[in-house]
Amino acid sequence: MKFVHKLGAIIWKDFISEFRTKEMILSMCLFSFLVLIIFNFAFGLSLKFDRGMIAGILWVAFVFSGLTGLGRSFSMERDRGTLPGLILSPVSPWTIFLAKLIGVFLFTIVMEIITVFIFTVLYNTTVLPFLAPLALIAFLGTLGFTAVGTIFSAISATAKARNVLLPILFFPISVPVIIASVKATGIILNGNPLQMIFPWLKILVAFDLIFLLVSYLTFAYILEE
Amino acid sequence: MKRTPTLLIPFQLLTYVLMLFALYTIFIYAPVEKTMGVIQKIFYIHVPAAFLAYLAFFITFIASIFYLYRKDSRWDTVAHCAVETGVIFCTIVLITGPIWAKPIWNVWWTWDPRLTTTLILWFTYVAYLMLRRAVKENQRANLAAVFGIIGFLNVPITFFSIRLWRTIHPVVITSRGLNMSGPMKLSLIITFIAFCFLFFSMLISRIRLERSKMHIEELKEIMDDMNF
Amino acid sequence: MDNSIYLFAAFSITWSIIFVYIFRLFRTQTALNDQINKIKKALQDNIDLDVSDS
Repeated sequence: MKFVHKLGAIIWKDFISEFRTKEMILSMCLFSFLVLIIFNFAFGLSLKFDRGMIAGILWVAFVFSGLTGLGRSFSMERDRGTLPGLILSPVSPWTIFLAKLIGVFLFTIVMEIITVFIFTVLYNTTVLPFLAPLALIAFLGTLGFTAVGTIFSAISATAKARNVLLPILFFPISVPVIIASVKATGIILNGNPLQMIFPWLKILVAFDLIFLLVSYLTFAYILEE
Repeated sequence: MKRTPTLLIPFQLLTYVLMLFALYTIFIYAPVEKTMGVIQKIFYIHVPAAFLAYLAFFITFIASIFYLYRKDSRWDTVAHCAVETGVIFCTIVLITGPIWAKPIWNVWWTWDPRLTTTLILWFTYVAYLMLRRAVKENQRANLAAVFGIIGFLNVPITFFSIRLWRTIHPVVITSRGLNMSGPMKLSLIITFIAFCFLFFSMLISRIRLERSKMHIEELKEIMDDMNF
Repeated sequence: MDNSIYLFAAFSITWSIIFVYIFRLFRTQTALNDQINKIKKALQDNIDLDVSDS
């Protein structure tokens, strides 16, 4: 049970510091809103009938906005000088990773929910009939890219050009997650049956499991000095 | 793992000779393919380069694991040098591919699963090199090793997801299989062997360079110690 | 034949990349070797000095 306590402590700490300013969640939501608007200008009216492309835009908004949250996950610790304290505390590296992951994951999910609302308005797409499968895809996909993002946030936290390094590391590795999530979402939004997304869900689950396993095995090395 | 110069020079000479021989087989021995014409001969570079690029990143994967396990900086050197060499070969694949595709299918790029995965691979390992440059020295080997492992594990998943994506939206012809006659197959094998030698020559030379750098650091330390 | 130009392009780009890389390796290696020899010589001089002092 001590593990859960330590985990909860770190998550709670991040939550409290975010609640004070609400800075991160506000900027994430604003950014995703902007992305949705800009894509509308980029693609014009042709979007009305192509649900597949719309799914792509939604996920671009999720991922780019999530990236800003991920970037702050460890660099915030570094800027405030709390990173050595965190590493030295009697918490296993895996616990730190999970705590950071859960924190960012929850913030990102909140951002995604708000983004979906804005999305249904701007793109005139109903989402309600598809809520359950969409939630599943969003859960698996978000877990995938936030896990990858958390590892790379930790890796790039100490670099000088960390704002540029994180996307460079992040995007090649997230390709499977993005492809699978976009395709599955597009299929669902077009009203197709659930079976059609099973191959994509399999890819997402495989990706999530593999990267959680890899982070379990290697996170300690990332925090070593 | 250190190769003394006495072994390396004959190795490099052999590489040179094999390469000349390979060029002979490509241009003189191998027949011109019926449907594609002379352009098919790009194949003899493209295929070995692709195999060697993936081999290079596999070497990085294994070396990264060994580095994290043993903390011996020699493994880190191997990983780093394999990435550099791999990026060179990967670049060659990505350039020869479109040059081959344009006259045949009249498009520069197809989102073919193998070529696209190779493109993602290229980005991944260029990111590896950027990572090494961006982080501080005390952490560099650790972080690079983790990324080397993650990057390679990503390859099969990426390949399958792109392939699934392609089967749902088939676009251009994707078949790369050629019916090769006997002499063509032999030419490919010979060229392949020549490129393998070239790859390892380049890799070993690069590793030697890195070790020379480390040697200089050691010597400088001795100098500093002596001056106190 | 028009297609030959593509063949030529592919081969020449490939060899250019490989050649440039190997050439750069060679130059850096030579420079490093010179540096190593210089330092070794300086070290040797230092040792000789110490020996002659004591």
